[in-house]
Amino acid sequence: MSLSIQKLNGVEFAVRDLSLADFGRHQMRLAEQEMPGLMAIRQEFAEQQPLRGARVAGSLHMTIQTAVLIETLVALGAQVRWVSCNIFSTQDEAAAAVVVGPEGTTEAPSGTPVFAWKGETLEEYWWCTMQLFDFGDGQGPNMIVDDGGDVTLLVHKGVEFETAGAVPEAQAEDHEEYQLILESLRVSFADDAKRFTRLAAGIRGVSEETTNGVGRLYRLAREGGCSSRRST
Amino acid sequence: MNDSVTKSKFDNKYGIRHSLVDGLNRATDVMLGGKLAVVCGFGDVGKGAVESLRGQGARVVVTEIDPICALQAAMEGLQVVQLEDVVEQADIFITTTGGTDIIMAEQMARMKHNAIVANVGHFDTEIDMAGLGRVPGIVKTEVKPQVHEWLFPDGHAILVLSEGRLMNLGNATGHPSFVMSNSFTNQTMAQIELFTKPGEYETKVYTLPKHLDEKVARLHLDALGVRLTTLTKKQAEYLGVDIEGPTRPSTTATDPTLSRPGPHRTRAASRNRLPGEAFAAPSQRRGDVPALFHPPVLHRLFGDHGPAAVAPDHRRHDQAEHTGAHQDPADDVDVDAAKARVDREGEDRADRDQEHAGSDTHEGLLDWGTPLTYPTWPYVEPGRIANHVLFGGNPATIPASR
Repeated sequence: MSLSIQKLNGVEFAVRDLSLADFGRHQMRLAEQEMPGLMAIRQEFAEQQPLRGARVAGSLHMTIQTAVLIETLVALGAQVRWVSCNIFSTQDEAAAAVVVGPEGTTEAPSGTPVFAWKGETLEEYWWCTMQLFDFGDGQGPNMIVDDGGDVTLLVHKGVEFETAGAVPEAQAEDHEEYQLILESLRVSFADDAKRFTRLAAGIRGVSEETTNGVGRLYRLAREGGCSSRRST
Repeated sequence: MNDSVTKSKFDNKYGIRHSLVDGLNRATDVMLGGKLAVVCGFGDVGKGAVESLRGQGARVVVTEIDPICALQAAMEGLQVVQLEDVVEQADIFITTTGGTDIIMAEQMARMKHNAIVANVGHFDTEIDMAGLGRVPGIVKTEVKPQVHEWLFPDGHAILVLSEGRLMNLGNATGHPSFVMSNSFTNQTMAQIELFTKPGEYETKVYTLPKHLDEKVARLHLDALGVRLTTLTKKQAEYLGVDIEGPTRPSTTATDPTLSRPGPHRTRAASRNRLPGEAFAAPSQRRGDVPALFHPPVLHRLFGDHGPAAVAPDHRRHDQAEHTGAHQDPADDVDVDAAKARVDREGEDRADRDQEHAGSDTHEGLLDWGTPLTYPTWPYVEPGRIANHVLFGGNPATIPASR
C-alpha cells in the first residue's frame, strides 16, 4: 500500500479497499447482536453523551468486534481515529465499514478515520500509528485506547526526545522496530519539535487492553516515567 | 482494564479457546486429534489454549515457570514438561507466555518434519524468528499469507504461523464478539470515567473497580438466559456485602471461583468497598497517597501480589522490596496469598477508611470506586522491544527478575 492518506467527504483514511464496506457492515450487524454489553452502554449513555469532546486515538486490532467498539465510542459523542496494534490483525472489511460508517456510502463516507490494513510492513505500521494524532485544527487526541502499549510508548518517547532536544540515532544493534520508531519520531521532530509535548499535556488518560501493555505501564510507573495523567 | 476479571478471565481464556483452533484450522487444516501439542505457559491464555486443543482431541502438555500455575496444570491432569523434553516429539507448539525467547531457533531445528510453531502472546518476542532467519541454508517459502514453511538444510521443515505474531488474529479473525463485548464494555467505561473526571486521578495505573466489573458481567447474562440468584437481606448481612453487590471484596485478577470471601473477614474487608459507604472519591483521598512513584510504594502496590492499601508504611515497603516477587507471566496465581492479605489488611483498611466515611459522596456517571486495592498483578516481563525502548540498553543485559 502506498503511504498516503486518502480523504473523501472530509473523512481521512488509509484502508485496503473501501468497497469491502458492505461486507463489513453485515458482519458488524451480526456482531452487534452478540455484543450486549456494548449495546447496553450505547443505550444507557445515549442521552448523556459522556464522551462529547473526547478525541480518542485508538490502537487495537481492527476487527469486526473493534468496529463495534469504535461506533460505540462515537455513539457516546467521541471523535475517533483508529489503527491496528498488529500488522496482521486487521479485517479489511471492518476497516472499510468503519470509514464508510453506518450512514455513509463508499463514494461519500461519513464514518471514522481508520489507518490499517491486513499485512502491513513494520514501516507501514508505524506510519499508520503516526496518523492517530492529528484531529484537525491543531488538535491532538485527549484520550488513548491502547492494546500492547505502542501508542503510549510512542507518546512517551516523543516527549522524552523533545525534552532532550534531539532524537537519538538508531544503533545497528537496535531492534528493527525501534529503529522505525526513532525514524518516525525524527520526522515528527523536524516538522514540529513540540508535537508530543503538547499532545501529552492534553491527554487525560489511557485505557489499556492487554496483559503485556499493562505490564509495560506498571514498569513505566515503577521507573517513574509515566507522563500521561492517568492510565487504566 | 486488562485486569478486570471480566476481561482477563474471559477474553484471554475463552477468546483463545475459540480462536486458537480457528487459526490452526484456517492456516493448516491439519487434524488436531491425536497430535502432541505443547502449550508454553498456563496463565489465562494458556488455560484457554489447552482447552481449545484438548477439545479437538490433541494430547496436550504444558511448560510453566510459575510453580502455582504448574501445579494447577498438574491438577488438570496435564503433564508439565520442559520444552526440551518434547521438542523432538511434539507436533504443535503454542506460546502463550507474554515473555521472550520461549522457542529458540536451535530447538526449531530439532523439531519433527512439518511441526507447527505459533504464538498467541501479544508480542512477537516468544518465537526466535530472527534466529530462525539466520540458520545457514534455511529456505522460507510462503504457503499462503501468514503461513510459512521453513526448510532446514537437513531436509525437514517446520510451519511458522503469522511470522511469530498473534496467529489467532493473523490466521483467523481473533476472538468472537460475545467475549469481546465484555472486554470492550470495560474499555468504554474506562474511557468514560477517565474523560469525564479530569483532575480526579493521579498519574498512575488504576484498575476498574469491582462493581463495574460485576456490571459488565451482568450486562451479558440475559443474552445467555442466566437466572441470577439475589441475596436475601440476611444472606447479604452474613456475607457483609450489599444485596446489589459488589459480591466480593475487590477486583482482583484472581479466578473468581477461588477468591470467594469468607464471613470471618468479609465484614471488614468488603465493607470498605461498598460504594457510598466507605469509599472516598479519588480526589478526596489525595492526602493518603504517598509520593506517587516512590519505588517501594509502587513495589508494594504492584509487586506484592495482592490487594494492598495505599498508605505510607515504610517498614513494610522495605520488606516488600526485598521479597522481589515479580516473575510469572501467568495470572491467577496468588490466590492464597491475596486471601491472606485481605485477612491481614482488612482491619487496617477498615480503620483507615473510617476517616473518610461520611464525606465520600462520589458524584459522576460511573462510580469509579477506589484505587485503594490493586489486583493480584502477576508482573509480566514485557517483550524485548518494550525493554529496549522503555529502558534503554541491550535487552539481553536486562535481568529477567526486574
